[in-house]
Amino acid sequence: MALRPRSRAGRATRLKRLAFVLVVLGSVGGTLGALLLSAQVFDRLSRASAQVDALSLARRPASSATLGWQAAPPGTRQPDGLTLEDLRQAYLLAFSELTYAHGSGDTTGLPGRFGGRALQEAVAATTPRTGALVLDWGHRATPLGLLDDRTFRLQDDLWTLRALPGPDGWQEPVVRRETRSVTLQQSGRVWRVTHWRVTEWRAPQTRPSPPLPLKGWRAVTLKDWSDWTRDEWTGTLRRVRRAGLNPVALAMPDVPTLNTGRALRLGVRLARRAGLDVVVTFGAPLTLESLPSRVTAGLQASGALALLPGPLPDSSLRTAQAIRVLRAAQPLPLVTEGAPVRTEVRAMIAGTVTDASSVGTITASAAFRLPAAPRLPWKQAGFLEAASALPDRGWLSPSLDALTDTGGGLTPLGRALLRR
Amino acid sequence: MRGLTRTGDSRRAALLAGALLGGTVLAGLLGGCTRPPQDDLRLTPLPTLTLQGEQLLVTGAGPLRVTCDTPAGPVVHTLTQAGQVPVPPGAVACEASRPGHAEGRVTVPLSSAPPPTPSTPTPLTPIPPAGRAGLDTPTPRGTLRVTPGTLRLGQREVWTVTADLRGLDGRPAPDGTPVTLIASSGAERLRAVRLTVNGVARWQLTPSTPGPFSFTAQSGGWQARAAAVARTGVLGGQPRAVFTGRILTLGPLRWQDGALPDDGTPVRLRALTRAGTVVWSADVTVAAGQVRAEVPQVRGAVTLSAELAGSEVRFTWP
Repeated sequence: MALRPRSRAGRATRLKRLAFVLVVLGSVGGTLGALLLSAQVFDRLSRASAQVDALSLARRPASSATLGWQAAPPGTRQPDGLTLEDLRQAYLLAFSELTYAHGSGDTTGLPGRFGGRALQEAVAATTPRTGALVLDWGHRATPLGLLDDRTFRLQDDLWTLRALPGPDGWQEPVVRRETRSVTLQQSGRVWRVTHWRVTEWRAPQTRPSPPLPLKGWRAVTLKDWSDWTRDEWTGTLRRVRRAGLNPVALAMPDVPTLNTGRALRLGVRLARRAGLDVVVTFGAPLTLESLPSRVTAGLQASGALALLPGPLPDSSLRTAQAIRVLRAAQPLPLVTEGAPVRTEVRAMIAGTVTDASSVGTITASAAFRLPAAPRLPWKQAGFLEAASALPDRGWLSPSLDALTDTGGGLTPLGRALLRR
Repeated sequence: MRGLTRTGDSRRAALLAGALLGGTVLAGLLGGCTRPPQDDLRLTPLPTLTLQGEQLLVTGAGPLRVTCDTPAGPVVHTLTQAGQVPVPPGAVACEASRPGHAEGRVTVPLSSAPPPTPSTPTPLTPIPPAGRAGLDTPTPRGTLRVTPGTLRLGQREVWTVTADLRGLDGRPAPDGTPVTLIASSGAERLRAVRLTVNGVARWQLTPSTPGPFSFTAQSGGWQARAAAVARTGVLGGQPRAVFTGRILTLGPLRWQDGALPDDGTPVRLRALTRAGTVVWSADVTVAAGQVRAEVPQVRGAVTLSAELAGSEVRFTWP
């Protein structure tokens, strides 16, 4: 059999082959480029996300009076009031910047708040990024006075919390009460922390809480009271008292304003004067990050009956630690809801609020959290019937308007709940 | 006959294949139902932590995390095996744990250093950082640049001071190395601390007075100098000064290139006597190219001086 000579490929065929190779190479190159680009975009996005998270942690609630000056030692040279306020702001901003730098790894703001050795230590602690949660609250500072026109020293008694990031949330939380010796120096009209040392520290002392009799609660929740005037407080509290409701649950706003702290103090004072008890409630779950806001509210509402720090997200060691710290750092008894409490911290809980479905677990130190009344008319009759059939236990209603009208009279739901 | 045999063979092969498939599925199901093999129970020793002078001796198996609490927050070291880590300055306590096994951690409390004596406050100039992240490298080298070399005041120009810091091996200084930057002229001194990113620390500034400026950058034992000049923003032509009652309106003010000064550019107005004594002065800002100021009754004033970005114009006091 004669072999056929191999025919040479024509120009068109060669061009087709070349085009095919180019298309394949282009596809591979394009895929690689897209992968590289998406990796960079992902890296930037994750960095930006870490910075946003850290920023939300570092931002202090405007309402919180986080640093109180103690009496100055006699014979010391003290700055004027304006300078003292500058110093207070600079010192607290240094803590906020540190919280941000730990969370985000962005250290560019540290030189604006720190100088000298404190700056070196802050940079060394935050580089590379630790991702740690670093929080502070309850500063009680003693001004030790001006050493010269540009150097000021103080001694601060404060609470600190640190926790490290883990696969399922914060790990190894450590809470301390510390005494720090701090030096601030002024440069370019800005006060910076230039040196600080912890001179003494101790673990927080927790104490058990006696159970609260929640059986008699006919509680009603008040919301959006941050900007109330004294007249508005008095009118609302009179309405609550006339309806026979007690205690008053003051729901903390999601974003406290500068007025929130003042309004909370005023509300507690006026309610007590009107013969009503007050409980302070939070809607967001209790976490380690949210501890400073809970502690601050507990301190501001001194004289209130209890603090409801928000639903417990789980029954982990972390949540138990948060309960222990909250009990130690502020004076109000704790009433919890949400996940069950671990046995080791059960003695620190004064009561429990549950939803009405878990009737079987209700005890004397537990109350129902009533759901909001339905708006649809054909559902209201059933709701009223269910409310009338509730066992004689304490309850917490979500709204005053659902129970009383503006004239002070009871609504059908109010009559059903109060058995009138 | 042959056709029948072939049909029988193919049927046998199909049966064999079906049996094989069924067996595989059955084996898979049985295998899936069996209990997965359990890991052997292993006991891992807890880490230990011993203080030896300025070092912490860490023992234990596997990756270990050492966390030292300082006033600036936790300093975290991750070790692949047992070893030593330096105690950071001001540390309150150190802990060792295995990542993910927080319950097995051990803690060593440390005594903290006494506070500084009141008579010797810490200097503001950063001392070369020591410790982690390669910050204890020997004296670095680097360059200092200032752009532009000549800056015209009042015309939205800024100086960018760039310090490029490198170690002796030529590699960029570690991120976060503080660099102190100072700009000074006869009347003005500006200072800032910036941290390096990829070995570069950058500072942007705008001076308020004209003249030659010298720039200094310091970081650890390294120091560099540079120079640049800020020129007066020269006004084009003599602006009008109009008094309406006690309100003085000056303008429109224009630079030599015809542009209006930015809103908010500071202007210093002064009333001078014949002897050159300042009897009244006011600091105002430009708005829409004009300056308005309320002027009191000034006795003896003969000249009105307006100073803007280093440029001065004079009028006869009306």
